[in-house]
Amino acid sequence: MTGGLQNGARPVMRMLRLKGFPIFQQLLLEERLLRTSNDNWCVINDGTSPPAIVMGISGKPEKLLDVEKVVKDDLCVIKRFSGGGTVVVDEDTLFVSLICSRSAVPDLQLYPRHIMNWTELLYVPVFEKVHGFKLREHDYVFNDRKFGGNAQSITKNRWLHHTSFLWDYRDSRMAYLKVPERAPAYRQARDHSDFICRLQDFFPSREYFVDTIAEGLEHHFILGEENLNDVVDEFAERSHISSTNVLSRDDLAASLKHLS
Amino acid sequence: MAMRQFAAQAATALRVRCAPASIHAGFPVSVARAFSTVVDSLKYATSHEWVKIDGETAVIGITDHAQSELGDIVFAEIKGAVGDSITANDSFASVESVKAVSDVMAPVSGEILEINDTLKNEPGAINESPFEKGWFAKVKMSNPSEVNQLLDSKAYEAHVEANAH
Repeated sequence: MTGGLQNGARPVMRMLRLKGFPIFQQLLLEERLLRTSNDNWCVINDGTSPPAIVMGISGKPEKLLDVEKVVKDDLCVIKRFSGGGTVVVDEDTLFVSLICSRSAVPDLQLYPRHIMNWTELLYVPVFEKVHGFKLREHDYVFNDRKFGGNAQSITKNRWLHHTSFLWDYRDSRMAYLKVPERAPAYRQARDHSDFICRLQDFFPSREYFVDTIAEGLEHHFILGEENLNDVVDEFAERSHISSTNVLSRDDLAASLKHLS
Repeated sequence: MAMRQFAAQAATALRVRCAPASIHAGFPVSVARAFSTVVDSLKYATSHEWVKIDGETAVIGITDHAQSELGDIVFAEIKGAVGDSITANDSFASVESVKAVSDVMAPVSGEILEINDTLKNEPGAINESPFEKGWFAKVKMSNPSEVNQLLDSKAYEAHVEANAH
């Protein structure tokens, strides 16, 4: 597998840098860019508010969440169009999504592990000053502590790889999540607090971290910054089937019946 | 009957993959790469779906190579129901593996006659038995000439080899 540089030519990547953009709107936009654009994109969103829970396309609330607590606290639960696990997202979650055409990375086979491995190479310079960075199973870790979770969606000629980076987290919010049945082996049944770590302990500021990611991307792409409103207007009329949705109270109540 | 013969071939293919010593000489099966099997009588799309033709009916699944590259499949969904139409080269199903949802492309156009319900509760059947138990759908082809654009097993083997690293 090779990186993005071949013959010195870097493909163009359109970049959206957002702050506090609601995660549901972000996911809708990303699915649209995956399915209706031919360009390469990077969407970086610094935090979302209010807090929400985002599940992969096949996630079952009763297996992944403390549903009663979620309902009691009136948290929004979103099922996204990509695979992967469940995450509580809030103001301290940094989202980085890469949406690319097949040709963006020469020789990259459009299968999950190949894309996952390529992103590890992409992020090596971003985390070079922190000891122990690696892709462990499907997570970005420092040694055995996870700070970034990944999910992907792959079409015939395009792929999306999005990451939720934990700039910070609140233990109380992690209590909405159950330990999943398909937890990675390296987790070794550890509680959230023993399994994850905060990026803020390793970077001086969120802005510095986002700038470092942009610098890392520039090894592979020619970046061009975009305006959100312009992008929304450009793609508003392009129809596609959306599979991102918010679970209703009824959906969550129905999931509880599976437990009984 | 044709499906039964096909199933027998596919089962043999799996024995080839799992235990090469048990290969029954004469079955039309070959190993394209280590742990990647093709069935000679099938047609293949470059996007790694196989098609079993039986008159106007096509049975569709994904290849051994594809399931191997995807990893453990934990979810499979056909986008549509019996009676719906699918179009060649459009996504007609999706599978979740590792942390990814991957589109499965329709190798031929037509009307869905049957969906493999086994995949709802046993998506891992695609990994265990891609050419037999892990089939996705049976389709009544609306344009059988599309089959001419698919690869035979040798051409598909070459395609897999050419894209390997």
